[in-house]
Amino acid sequence: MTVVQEVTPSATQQPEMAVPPGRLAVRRFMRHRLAVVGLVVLVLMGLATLVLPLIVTTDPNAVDPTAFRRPPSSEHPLGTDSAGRDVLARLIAGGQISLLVGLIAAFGATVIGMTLGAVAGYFGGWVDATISRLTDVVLSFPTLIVVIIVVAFVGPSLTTLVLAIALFDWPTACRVVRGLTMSLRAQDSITGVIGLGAGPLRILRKHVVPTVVAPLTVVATILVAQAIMLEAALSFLGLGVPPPSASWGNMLNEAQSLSILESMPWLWLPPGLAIALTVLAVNFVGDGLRDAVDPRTTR
Amino acid sequence: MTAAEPLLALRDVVTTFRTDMGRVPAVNGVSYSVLPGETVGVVGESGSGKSVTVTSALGLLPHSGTVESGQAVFAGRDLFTLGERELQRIRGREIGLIFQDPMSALNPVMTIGRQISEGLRRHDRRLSRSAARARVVELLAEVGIPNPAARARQYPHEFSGGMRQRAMIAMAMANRPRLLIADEPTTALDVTVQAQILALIAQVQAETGAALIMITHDLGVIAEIADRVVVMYGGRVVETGPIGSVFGKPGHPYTRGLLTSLPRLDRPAAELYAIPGQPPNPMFLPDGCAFRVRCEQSQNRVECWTQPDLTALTPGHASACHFSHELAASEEVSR
Amino acid sequence: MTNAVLTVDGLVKHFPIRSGVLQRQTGTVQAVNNVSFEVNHGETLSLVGESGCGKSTVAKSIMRFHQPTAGRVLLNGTDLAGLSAREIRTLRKQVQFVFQDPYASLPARMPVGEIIAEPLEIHRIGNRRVRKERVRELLEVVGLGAEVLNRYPHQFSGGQRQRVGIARALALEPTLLILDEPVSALDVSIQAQVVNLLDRLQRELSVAYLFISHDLAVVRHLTHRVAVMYLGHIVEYGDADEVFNRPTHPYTQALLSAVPNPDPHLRGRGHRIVLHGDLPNPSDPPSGCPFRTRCWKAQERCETERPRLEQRVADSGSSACHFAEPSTHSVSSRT
Repeated sequence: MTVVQEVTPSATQQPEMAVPPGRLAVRRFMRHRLAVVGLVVLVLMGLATLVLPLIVTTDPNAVDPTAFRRPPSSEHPLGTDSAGRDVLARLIAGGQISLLVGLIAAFGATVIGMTLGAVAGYFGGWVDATISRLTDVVLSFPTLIVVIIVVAFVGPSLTTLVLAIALFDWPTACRVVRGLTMSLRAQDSITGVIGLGAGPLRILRKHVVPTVVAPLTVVATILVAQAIMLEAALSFLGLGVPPPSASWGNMLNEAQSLSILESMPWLWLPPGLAIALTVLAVNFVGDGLRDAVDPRTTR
Repeated sequence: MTAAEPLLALRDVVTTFRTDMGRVPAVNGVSYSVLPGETVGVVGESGSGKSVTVTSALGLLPHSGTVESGQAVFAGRDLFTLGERELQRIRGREIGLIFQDPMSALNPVMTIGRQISEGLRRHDRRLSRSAARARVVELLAEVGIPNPAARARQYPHEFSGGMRQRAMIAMAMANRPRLLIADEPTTALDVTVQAQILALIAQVQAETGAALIMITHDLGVIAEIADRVVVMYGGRVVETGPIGSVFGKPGHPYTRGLLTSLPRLDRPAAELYAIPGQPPNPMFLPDGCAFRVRCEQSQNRVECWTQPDLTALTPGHASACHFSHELAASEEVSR
Repeated sequence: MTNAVLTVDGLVKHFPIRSGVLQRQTGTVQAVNNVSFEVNHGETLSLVGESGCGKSTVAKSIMRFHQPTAGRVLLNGTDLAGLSAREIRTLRKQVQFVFQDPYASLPARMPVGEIIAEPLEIHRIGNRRVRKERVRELLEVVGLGAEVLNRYPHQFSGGQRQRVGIARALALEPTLLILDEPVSALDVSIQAQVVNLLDRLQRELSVAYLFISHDLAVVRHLTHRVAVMYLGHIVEYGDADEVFNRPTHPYTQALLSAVPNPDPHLRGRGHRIVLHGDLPNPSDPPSGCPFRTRCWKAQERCETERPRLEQRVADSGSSACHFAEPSTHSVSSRT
C-alpha cells in the first residue's frame, strides 16, 4: 500500500489558530539558520557601505601619485590600484553603488512583473494572451546581450543600467504572479468580493496584490542577486557604472591582466569576494523566505 | 459473545503532534476494542482525535505525529512494537483500509486492476499474474462494478466518486482481512450513493465476517450500521456502549446534545437545540472535562475541573461525566 | 408576480467542452436545462439534489458569476440581461451570496471588521464612523461580539467564520440571500447553531433565502418550498410539506429514503430505495426523462417523451414524471 501516507489527521489543521500568519512566517524564517546568517551578512554589508565612509575618509577617486599597485600597508589597508587609488575606499564606494543598483533594478523589475502578471492573470482572455506573448519574447532574449546592446546605444550611465536591468528582468516575477492570480481568481474569496459588487481595480489592489506579495518576495531576492551579477558583468565589460566611479564590477575590470591576477590579488580578491558573498547571502535569504512563506516545503 | 477475545484492543493511546506552536496532544489516553465480526462506530467532530487514534495504531501518522504511550493489540501483537515491514504485512492483509477520498488513496497513473492485483501479489507471492488478474475481476464484480473486466483496465480518474469508493472497498477486501477500518468512507458521497456504499460494506462484512471500525461524524450513518459506538471529544472517549443504549439513553451531555441538535426529516421542529460554543482546539483544551465550557449539565461546578473517568452506567455502557446519574434522572423526567 | 424577489424563467446553462490543439468545441455539458422558479419576499426556497444536478450552477448564474446560455433572471422585477457591468454591480446590493466553505471564502489577510465593512465601502455607504457602527451592529446580529473586530479569519472556528460570512452578506440589507450549502462544511454541533441563526435572521429581517443544499434534513427544517433537481432539470417542485410528506417523483422518493435516520431503533424499519447505476454524463444526457436510466418505473414512453413539470397528484407538488404517484412508504410513516 503506497497510498497510506496520505492520511492527514484533522487535528493537525487547527493548531496554528492562535498566532497571526505573519508571526508564524517569521518564526519559520528564523528556524532557517543559513537564511538568518545570510540576512545578517546583508545587513552588515549594507551598514558597512553607509558607516565605513565616515571612518575611512580617503577619497576613493583620489590618486596617490607615489603609490601604484602597492600591496596592503598601514596607509592603504587593501593596497592601491593601477591608478594609485585606495582599494578599500573604492571597495566601500563600489559596494554602495552595486547594492543600490541591485536593489533598485530588482525592485523595478518586480513591480513591473507584478503589475503585468496580476492584470494578465485576473482578466485572462486576450489581455493574458498579449502579456504572455510579451513575456515569452522578453524571456527569449539573452538578457545580458540585450542589455549590452541597449547600453551600447544609449551610453553607459547609472540610470541606463538600472532601467535596462529592470526592463528585461521582469518576466520571472510576471509569470509567478500571473499563475498565483489565476488560481486566486478561481477561489471563493475573490468570487465573494465580486459578488459584493467590487470592480476589478479594487479587487486587484485590495485582494490580489496583498496576497501575492509574500511569495513575490522570494522571486524578488533572486532578482536582486541577478541584478547584482548583471551590474558586475556589465561593469566588468566596461558598460556599467562609468569610471571613475567605483563599482565592484569595474574594479574587477581594471584587474584583468594576467600579471595582476598572478601577483596582485589585493586588486581582484576583495571585489570578487564581496560579489560572491552578497549573491550567496541573498540566495540564502531567498531560501528562507520561500520556506517561511510556504510552510509545505519544510519537513 | 462472552469472553470473546477482542480482535483489536487500544489501551491508553496517547499521540501528540509537533507543530510550529510546540507539541500538541491529539489523542489523550484512548481505549476501546473491537470484537471479531463486530461493527464499532467512532463518532466525533474535527479535532476529536477519532482518526488520529487509528492512524496511530496502524503506524500511518504523518512525520509530525508521535505515539507517546499506550498499546494497540491486534490479534495478540502490540502494533506499536512492530517494525514498518511487519506493519505493512498486517495492513492490507489482515486489516483493510477505506478512506474518505479514494482519489488521493489511489495511484492516478496505474490502472485500478493493476493496483488491486499488486496488493494481492504482495501478500501472496505464489499467486500468478493471470490468477491475480482473474481474482481482481471477481472482486470488482463482487463490489458491484458493472463490466469488471473492462473497468479493471481503466484509471481512477475514469471512475465516478461512487465507483472509486467501490474500487477502494474491493482493494481493502482483496486479502479477506479480519478487520476493516473505514475513515469517513461516505462523507464525500451523495446520499443515494452513500446508501449504496453502506449496503455494500454491510454485505461484504456479512460475507467475510470481518469486523469493522467506522469512523464518521454522521450520527445517522452510525445509527444505521454500528453495533457499538465510541463517542470522542477533545482527544478522549467520552461515552461508549451498545448503539441502542447510547443513542437511546445517552450518558454524556455531549452525546445527548449532538443527538438532539440534529435536524430530522421526520420531526421538523420549530427550533433546533444547539450545543453552545465551539469545538475545542487541541492546543487549548480546557482543564478537567474538555466539554465543561460548553456543557449545560456542568453549570461551572467544581467537579468538572477534574477529568472524569469512564464509569459504567449499565454493563457495556460507560460515560465520562461526573453527573451522568443526573442526566439519566432528567431523562426519566422528560419521558 | 409582484411578490417575487427573484424570478428565474427558463434558465439554461451549457458549458462548452473544448479539446485538441485548436480548442475546438467537441461537446456541451448541459448543466442547467430550462429551470424556472420564483422566490417570494421573506420566504425560503430550497434547491436540493446531488452533486452535478446543477443547483450551484443555477445560483452562480443568478449571481452573474457566469453568463447564462438562455433564460431570464428577474431581481425584484428587473431583468438582469442587457445591463452593463456597472449596473449589475449596483444590483448586487439586493442579492448576496454565502459560500459553503467558510475557510476559503473570506479574505485571509483582512481583519473581520474590514471584511464586513467592505461591501459598505464598495457601494460608498456612510462614512468611516457610520460604517464602523454598522459593522458592530451586524456582528451583534449574527451573534459575535464587537470584540472580534480586529481578529483575522484564521483565529475563528468554522462556525464563527460562517457567521462572519453571513454578517458580510447582510451588510447591504439585501432582499435575497443565496446560501450555497452554508452548513455542510461545519461540525455537527455547530450546524444547529447556524441553522437557528438563519431561521432567526429571516424572521427578524424578512430576507428571502435561496437555499442550496444536499442535506435534506436541514432543508426540511428551514424551507417553505422546495425544488428537487436531477441532471439539470427540476423534477419536483412544491411546498415543503407536499414534497417531503407526499413526494410523487421516483427520484425524490429515493432521495428521501436514502437519508440515514439517527435513531437505531428505526434501523431496517424504513423502506430504503437503493438506486442502481451512476448519474448519466451531463454532456450526453438520456433522451426523454433524465431519470429513466435509473428509474424502476421507466417505460418506453419515458424514453421518447420528456415529462413536463406539472401537478399530477392532488395535495402534492408539481412532478416531472409520467407515472407520478404518492409513495407507499412515505418518510413520515417511518416513525
